[in-house]
Amino acid sequence: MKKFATSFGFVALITFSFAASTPALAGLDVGKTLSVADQANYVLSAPVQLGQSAYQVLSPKAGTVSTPGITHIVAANGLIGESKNQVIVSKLSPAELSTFLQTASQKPSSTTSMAGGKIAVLQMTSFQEAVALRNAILAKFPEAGVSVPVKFAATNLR
Amino acid sequence: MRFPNKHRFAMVAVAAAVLSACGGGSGPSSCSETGTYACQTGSTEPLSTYQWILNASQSYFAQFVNFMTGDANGISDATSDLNVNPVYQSGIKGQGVNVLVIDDGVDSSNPDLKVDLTSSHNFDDGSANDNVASDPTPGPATPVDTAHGTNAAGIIAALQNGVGVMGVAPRVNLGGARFVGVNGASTLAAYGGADWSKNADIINASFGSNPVQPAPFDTTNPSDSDTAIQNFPALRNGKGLVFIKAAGNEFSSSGNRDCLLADVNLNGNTVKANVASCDNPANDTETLYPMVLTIAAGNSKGQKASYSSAGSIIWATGLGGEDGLGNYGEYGPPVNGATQAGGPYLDTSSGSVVYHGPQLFSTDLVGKARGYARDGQTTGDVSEFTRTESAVAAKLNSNGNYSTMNGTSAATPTVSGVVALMLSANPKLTWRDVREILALTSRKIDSAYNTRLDRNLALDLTQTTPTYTANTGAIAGKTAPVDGATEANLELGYVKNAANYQYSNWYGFGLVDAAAAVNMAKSYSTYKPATYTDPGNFASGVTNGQLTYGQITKIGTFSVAGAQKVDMMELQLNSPNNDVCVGALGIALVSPAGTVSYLSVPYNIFYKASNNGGNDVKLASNGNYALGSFAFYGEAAAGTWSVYAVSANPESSCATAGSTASIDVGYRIFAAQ
Repeated sequence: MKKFATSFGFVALITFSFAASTPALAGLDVGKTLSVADQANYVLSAPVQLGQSAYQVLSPKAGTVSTPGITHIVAANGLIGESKNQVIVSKLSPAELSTFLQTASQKPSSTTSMAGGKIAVLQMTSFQEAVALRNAILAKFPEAGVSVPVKFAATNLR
Repeated sequence: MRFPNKHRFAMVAVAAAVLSACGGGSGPSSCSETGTYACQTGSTEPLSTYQWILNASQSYFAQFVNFMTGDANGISDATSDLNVNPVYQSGIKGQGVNVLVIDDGVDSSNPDLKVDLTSSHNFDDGSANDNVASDPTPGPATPVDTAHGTNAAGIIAALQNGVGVMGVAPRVNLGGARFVGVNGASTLAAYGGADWSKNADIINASFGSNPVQPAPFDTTNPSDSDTAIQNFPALRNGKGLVFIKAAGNEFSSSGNRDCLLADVNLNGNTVKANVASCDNPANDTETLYPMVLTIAAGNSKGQKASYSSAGSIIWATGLGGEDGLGNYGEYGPPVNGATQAGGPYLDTSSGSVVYHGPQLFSTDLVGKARGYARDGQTTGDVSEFTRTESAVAAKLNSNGNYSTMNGTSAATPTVSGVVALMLSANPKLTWRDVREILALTSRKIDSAYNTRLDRNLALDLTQTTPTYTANTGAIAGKTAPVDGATEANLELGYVKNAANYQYSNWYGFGLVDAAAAVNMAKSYSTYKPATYTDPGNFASGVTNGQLTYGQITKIGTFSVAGAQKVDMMELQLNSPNNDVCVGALGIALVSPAGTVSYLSVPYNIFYKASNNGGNDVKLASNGNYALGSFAFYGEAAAGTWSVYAVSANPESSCATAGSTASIDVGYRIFAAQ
């Protein structure tokens, strides 16, 4: 991060972040804690188990606009994260994945191949669907790398 | 005025370079380079005298060595540069190496940059913030100071062309990506997964995250970063992408967040002890892989830059400078409100002149309307060189195409440049070889820093405000943590481990030395495998360990079997009873060979956190807070490891002073090859 010396203090820090460029649900900053009182401002889903943690999806109440393609979730301790509702698959051949998806109950809206086919990005329409597809792929291919990434911190220039 | 003499020198050098180019370029008999600047150092460039990172002893700033007799306030030691000239004189300047700068963009119109605009080596998002499709130049709709990536790119790759500055590796193939701050940016794509990133040999990542509470590191549900990083060894035709990342600038401050370790109580007075880092680079979970080289920043004094975050996942140190002002960075910054255009800057309390140290000179967004150097900035807020309407800028920066940058963001590209020189000298090096060579050749600068400026005093863990006392208690003379002691010595300096590597939480394996690294790269022949085996999930180490606040507690041990050697050691912390105040908690780990590493320190960024209502952050039962250490690099993993909680008393709303808490500690080991 470029640091500018100022006449009134040691340094003033100018930050840039992904989060700053992405409109979020009002009051939701990735990585911060959402108090129980503040959680009342949102509609919370039933807990969704993802890996070793359970999360609730935060949905806006009437009059609040959510960010397309981004789902905000909250952990049991109030930690706010965001998901792009994507399932990331590695250590599984594209052919095996394709075959599996033909019969899967959850279907991605799009599939993007990365790293020369070693990584697939499956776009789902909701966080819950993404988690369900993750679990289904892992049940069939326990050795595969399958995840629904959740971001808990903004990225800043240094 | 001192600089005209320097510039006359530069002009003579340019003339010499042009003359030497006649006949197709020639140089010393060992010169492997051809062309106008064959085997010439950066003295061919008009601004070279300000590029202290390339040649400190010949720089404008060398005249300030020990300027203030009897103390350490001279801004340059005239030796702490990258030691790169011998490499240039052999003709190695980064030829054949693809470096991708993932940042806020790179201005391809700067005459001192040659950006590869083919779709295989750059990226932009095609939005209105672009000038041209497939051109990473920040467009006019971006903020006026979207110059971070352009500065980083210049530090690596500014051309040797008789214009402006020169990068550390001026002949690399430079790619740029408008990535940070771009809506919908894909980490998987940027980190080697897309056609535009897959050909990178080196990625420069002068960015990172500073979570406001511990970010869960759940190996059963990896992030997109985790997945991308695990694929790094497969890139570069199977030799492994070298990913170089900034450690962060939060050693003594962190924006508007609390940072208690910056100002501590010593004998009843508040002093800036700066004993240990406020934020821990390991809190950015991308650093928890051996494939990520996390870089600290040094300054022109040959010491850690004031801001450079420290921690046990630092691999090496680059040069990031300080924030000097004046004409070129030779004075200031002002202290206690004092300003004086052009310097010197005075501390109004003491009346003494402030010498801090210069930033790094590099390329900027073209023109005087945009960039770090631009019109309309205030005297005293920036150097005169970057205040483009100033007389200084009129002489040397009349187009506003050059500026200065500091931070670990600036240090990181100095290391990217050095690694590019290494790969240019020996393209066969795997990512493991690059790390090994840096570990073996980097200089142990500031070798006694742990005893400098009272850093060997003891921290009184019973206090809720960091307080130091003379180091005469139970820990006197001890380097290992002492079970039951209420004092701790958090900074151990360079620790020589059982494999004979010297490691420091401030500097990693030291300040990179280009000549030494390239020399070793040239003669290197026993290549380490690039293949990578993920260590998988964390094994159970200590279950329900009991820590006591306000003291050091040995919370348990775990045993490791097998013949593997350690590359990186990781711990994962959980709080089964939700009662661990993670801001008060430091963790020390002692290897079977007796090597001590502090993986975190008490009073850290999560202590009395302003973003948590001024309360300590509590670790969740499934918080999966992970920490790492390279201090054990090369040691045998087998044997008994001891885990110590070095816990200050927490803020009262988090837990009662002297109370206990339960903690689970998992571990996993990245094996060395």
